[in-house]
Amino acid sequence: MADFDSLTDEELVEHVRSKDQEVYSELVKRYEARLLRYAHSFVHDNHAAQDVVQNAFIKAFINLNGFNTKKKFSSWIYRIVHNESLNEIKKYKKEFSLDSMLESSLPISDDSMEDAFDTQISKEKISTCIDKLPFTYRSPIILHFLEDKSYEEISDILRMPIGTVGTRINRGKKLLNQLCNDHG
Amino acid sequence: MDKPLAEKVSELIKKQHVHMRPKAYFVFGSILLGVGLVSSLLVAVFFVSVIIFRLRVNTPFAYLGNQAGLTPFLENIPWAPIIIALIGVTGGILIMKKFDFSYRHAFLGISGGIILSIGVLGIIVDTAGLPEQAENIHPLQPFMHMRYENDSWVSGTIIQTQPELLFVGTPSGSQFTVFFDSGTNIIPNTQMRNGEWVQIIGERQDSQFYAEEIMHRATPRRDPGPFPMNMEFEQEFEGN
Repeated sequence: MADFDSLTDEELVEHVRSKDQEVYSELVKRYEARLLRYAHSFVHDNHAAQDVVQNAFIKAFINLNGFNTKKKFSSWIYRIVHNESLNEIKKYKKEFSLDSMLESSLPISDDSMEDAFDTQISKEKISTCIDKLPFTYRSPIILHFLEDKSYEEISDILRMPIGTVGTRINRGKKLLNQLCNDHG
Repeated sequence: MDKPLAEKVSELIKKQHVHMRPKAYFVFGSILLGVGLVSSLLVAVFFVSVIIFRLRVNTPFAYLGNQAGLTPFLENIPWAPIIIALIGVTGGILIMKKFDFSYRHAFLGISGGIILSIGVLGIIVDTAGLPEQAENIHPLQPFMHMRYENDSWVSGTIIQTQPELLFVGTPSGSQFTVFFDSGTNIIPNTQMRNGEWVQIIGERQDSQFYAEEIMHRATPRRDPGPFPMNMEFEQEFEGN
């Protein structure tokens, strides 16, 4: 089998589309672990996360000819997983109401807390507190701090203006800082 | 033990349970989306121009100064064009949201830009005289149809003035003898002249009208702009 490591995601997509559909598994391998982690942060269940990511990869394959190779494949596939995850958790509407209750009960602290955030809270700690974060802020925070996505990529994944991404990350950081401190 | 995800997906593809949609599907979808967007915006612009035209000719807001003015106001508002223009604007905005670039900008900014552009283009189209031209196009006539008379109000052009008496003709061809006296509220309180446009509130008895209030002003522009139109109405009154 040919070595596809040197190819970019977008070059692989082109190869799958025009030459060999089996090569699609290379793309699945590249993103499988990251997307499972991302889906798990929404659905909190390994099997549900597996289903979400599998469905996302199948949908991506079906629509692969609609993908613009001038754009990032990673943003596109994250977007599909994000939508699939939302569909999954829509089955559990209670989660949304819990989120809104939590959001309204948390006062936003001052800017000095934000500065402390970057230095004091580790990725590990973020992972433990993040589930308590309101849904609005959870996705941008996960994508930025756990998936190392840039604001522009997050804008592409969540389909929102870059300015909104920045605002949500900043507010999310403040809330997260408070949540992490409150809960040890 | 569960198979790796890559293997599961590959198996599904191999067994041909999953097919890639052809490129033409997406090209066709994009074309449809573009056509939908342009159509929605064109419909919105045209009907905004119709709204401006009808408000300009009928001036329904002028009736609101009178206690009995609510009925003629409501009857002169171009409801159908307003609803269609709103559908066009909403459709255009919803379709615009489907395009890749739209989410990068604030939704309110895009919506505001579209609404502003439609408004400006509507004014331009009205100034160009297209709504007057559209009055003669049969399928558009239900949207262009204006009422000029009812039991409590009438609007039209003064054909002849006499002391405490006006002869008024409507664009739809009706003619009325309008009686007024010193108790009639005339706005502005200046002499009424032949050819002026009047909006009258009062009581109608067949072709006679007893006025409580008369609003008079220069005849609203109904010229064709750069487009030719049927000038029968104007010629009819010029003949009088």
